[in-house]
Amino acid sequence: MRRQERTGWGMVVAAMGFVLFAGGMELARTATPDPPCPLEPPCPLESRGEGEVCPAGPADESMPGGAMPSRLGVASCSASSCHGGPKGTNHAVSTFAATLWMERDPHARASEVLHSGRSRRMAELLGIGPAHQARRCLVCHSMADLSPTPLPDDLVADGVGCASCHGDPTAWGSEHTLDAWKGMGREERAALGYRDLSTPLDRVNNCTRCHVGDAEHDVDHALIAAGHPRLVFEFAAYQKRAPRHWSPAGRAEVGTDFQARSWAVGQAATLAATARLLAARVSDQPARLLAARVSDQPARATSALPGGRWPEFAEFDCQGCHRSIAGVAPPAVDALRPGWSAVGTPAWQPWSQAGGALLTGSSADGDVDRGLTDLRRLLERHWGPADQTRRGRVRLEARALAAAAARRAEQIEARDEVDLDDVATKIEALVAEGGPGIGSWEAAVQSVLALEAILDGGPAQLGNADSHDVDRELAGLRESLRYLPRQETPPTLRRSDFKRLRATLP
Amino acid sequence: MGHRFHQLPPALPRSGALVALVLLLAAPVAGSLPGGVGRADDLPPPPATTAASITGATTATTTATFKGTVTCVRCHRSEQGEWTGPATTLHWREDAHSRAHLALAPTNERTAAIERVLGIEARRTRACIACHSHAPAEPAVTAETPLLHAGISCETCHGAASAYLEPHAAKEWRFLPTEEKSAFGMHDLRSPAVKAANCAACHVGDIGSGRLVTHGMYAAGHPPLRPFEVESFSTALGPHWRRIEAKPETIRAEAAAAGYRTEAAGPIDRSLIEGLGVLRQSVRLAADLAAVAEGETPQVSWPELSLHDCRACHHELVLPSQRPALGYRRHVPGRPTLPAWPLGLAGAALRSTPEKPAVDDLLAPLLAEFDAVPFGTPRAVVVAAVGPLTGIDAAIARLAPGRARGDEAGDRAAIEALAAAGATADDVDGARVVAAALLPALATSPAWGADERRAACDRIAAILGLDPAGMSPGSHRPAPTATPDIRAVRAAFILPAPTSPR
Repeated sequence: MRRQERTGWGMVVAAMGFVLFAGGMELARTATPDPPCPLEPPCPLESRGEGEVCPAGPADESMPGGAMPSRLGVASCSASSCHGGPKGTNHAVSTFAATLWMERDPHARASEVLHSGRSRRMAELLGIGPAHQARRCLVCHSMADLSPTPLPDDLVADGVGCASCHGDPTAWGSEHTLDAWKGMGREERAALGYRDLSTPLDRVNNCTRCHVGDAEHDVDHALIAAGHPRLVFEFAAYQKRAPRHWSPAGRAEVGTDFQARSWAVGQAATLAATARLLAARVSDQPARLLAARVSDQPARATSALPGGRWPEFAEFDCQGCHRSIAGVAPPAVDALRPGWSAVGTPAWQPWSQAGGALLTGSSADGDVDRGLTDLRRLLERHWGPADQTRRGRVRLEARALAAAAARRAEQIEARDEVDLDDVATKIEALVAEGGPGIGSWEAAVQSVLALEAILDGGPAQLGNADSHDVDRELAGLRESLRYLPRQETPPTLRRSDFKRLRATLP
Repeated sequence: MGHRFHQLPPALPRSGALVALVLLLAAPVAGSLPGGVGRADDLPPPPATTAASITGATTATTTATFKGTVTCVRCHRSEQGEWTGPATTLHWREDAHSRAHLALAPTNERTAAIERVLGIEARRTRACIACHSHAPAEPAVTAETPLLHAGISCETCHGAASAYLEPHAAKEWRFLPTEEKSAFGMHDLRSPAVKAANCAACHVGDIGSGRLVTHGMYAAGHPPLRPFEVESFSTALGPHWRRIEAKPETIRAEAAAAGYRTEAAGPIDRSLIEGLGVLRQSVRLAADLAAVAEGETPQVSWPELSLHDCRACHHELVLPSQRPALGYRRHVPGRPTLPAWPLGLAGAALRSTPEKPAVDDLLAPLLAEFDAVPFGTPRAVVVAAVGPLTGIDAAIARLAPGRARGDEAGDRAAIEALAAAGATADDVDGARVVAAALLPALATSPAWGADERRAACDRIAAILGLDPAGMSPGSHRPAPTATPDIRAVRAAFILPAPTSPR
């Protein structure tokens, strides 16, 4: 019985590969109907009284924006008279955006890393051929997508180039140099494939495609086990560190609450992306990714191709499993275990949740709160691979959470002002003596990042506090949470530091 | 029951232990774990197809009842003959097994913590008693059970004595064919395969007798079951027996005349067979548990993480990590597989059979299931385990008849197979198990010069933190910070070419 199923799968996968080769990506997508909802009828979510609209939202688990099979490289944007001019304070940033990007932005070297010793070892362990030619790697490390036509080597060398974020310029490349472009609205431009990245929400949805992952961009546990770093993404901090190759004038960016807004939007949108990724991973048909793997390495396809993925370990707390068992003491962490979880079961996505938990809890976030709790109940009580019905339920809950979190992100984005006093209060409560405390390294780091975002507005946000003191305290806190080389477990949390920091604030 | 206190083994700690004993034996045994996970006590017996075993260790007559160590020591502490010397009970009293039940006392700090997390009382829980005192398949411990039944006692290993108690006192018993002895319920512990299965029933796990340390128990605080090598461990515990070759000439002659073959395998082969027996138990545990999980009323949850290699998950998480450097034996990276530590010794054993199968090839069908889906699916695991179990049994059958004493070429080949297993080991624990079998054999092998073999033994023992005399329960727990680099461990196993001609 089991064998027959496996054979059936192999045929499906092989057929998929053929379709991909024969008709290209778009045909393959239309040829793959979305898997039917496994729980209909009756839909268990109806009992929530959500009305006639399915709260799970649309079934498509891919990111907005879709694939970007660009054949136009950085060179087509970086002529010296376009975006590749000399750097200087006399010119608009847009005239030297590409120059600056090539010089300072790590995305420009994203494909270079695929030639490193670590990348070679990873590719060897995964059996996917050379890393710099493997679609599995190139989808995030270059402008390539999963289409069977390989990206030319010179375009691969561009790394995560202009088209990766701004959209495939095939249709708008010429248009955007004309005067008419200035008169075009956001929707008109989007119709040509141009991605407007003015607002934090635009940007975070763009970043999460690789930095969180989706059905086509997946840093799964096999990749991590082979040597890939795990993904930990916090939008505001990443955005602040990225070399800015655009002018903030005239954008939301000039407001003092920009970092705070970015943090809040980022948390909600990242949670949405995390939930969408879960829905894709728990799905029975991660067909596009499987097809890509097959075409990468036909020889290994039959032996090492994962026929099933769930439980996907990358969904769970790394330290939940990767902890020392030498000289085990009775687990003190058990006190932090929620009532629903089985002893010895790892927590679901503590990194994404730690920040989300700071954001949720207010009355407006009922859907997000409930979605999070429901998902954790499902995933942490039993995470076995066999039960298709349960997986269907996880998928549904994940889509519901994704939809709720995405709505939440839009709400924050739409607000005139972003006030994160309640977040600061929550962090204070976390640290307060007698409270449940900061449960994990993830929660502590997210708290620090939240504080940094809140305080970024400068003196105006600080009231009477000495900004130098605050900066020093924050830096110290950051340092105390840093993983040192060869360190195996998360650093000890220094609550006293948190407390001292709060004491310096108004 | 205070009147029995005078019969306590003298080595027992006296303070909290006595209280613990009283509590232990006064408590009626609960049949099931309230709430939580790790319900090993609820396990039904495995299907008949998986229970069959050439080792026969668990096929003893189930009607036999325990007579109690009180009965055994009446003879086995006396001076009546060389097989009943005072050493028997003396050694057992010093053996930690005699105090296994004390770990269940609530005065034990770790036990108290486990009880808190799982919401159980260990001394009333069959899943705990199964290994710390008696397996539930055997007669249950009750308030009437004699005091000395507690702990891992004579009959836990040798079999419940009711049927063989009287016959085995007869002079004719000694050289009865082992099958006849087994029919009386006495386990043939001189057979390495039976002995390995007997030890591994607790130290690896056995579904049929309800002995399984679940991941829930580990997570609640149960110490990890340590890798072990049967031969050196039982030597280190203090043998309360003598091998046939150590017995007087008259007895050996009598044994030969009776066609007594149960100790046919020499010391190296014993280690190899026992290594296969331990791997067999590990595979069988996975198959049996999968069969239960696949049953009509599954009473266990799947996956059961304790079936898998601890270090597949519980390894260092530093960057850069050593883990990718070690590789995954051509399997999907990052998926839990069978425990790795038995593979080295079992692999050397397989290499010592005429067919010389590779252990990876033998296990390939089963390991492919762990590649296909994380943890595998129960039905597929049951099916896929059949081939490896058959292969292991065939290899045991090949080695069991033994070789001629003084077969130097065979000894040297076995030593080289062990060294090769160490030189390709994937984990330090597995290398220690290989070394435990290798060191005693290498130290006395005439194939290498005295200086050379001493240097090789010292090198291997030093890097693994072992006593050069062999592995023992106390000698294999180096500080966690001192985990040696696997590449250095592998290098230590590379032996110089034998000095004596082949």
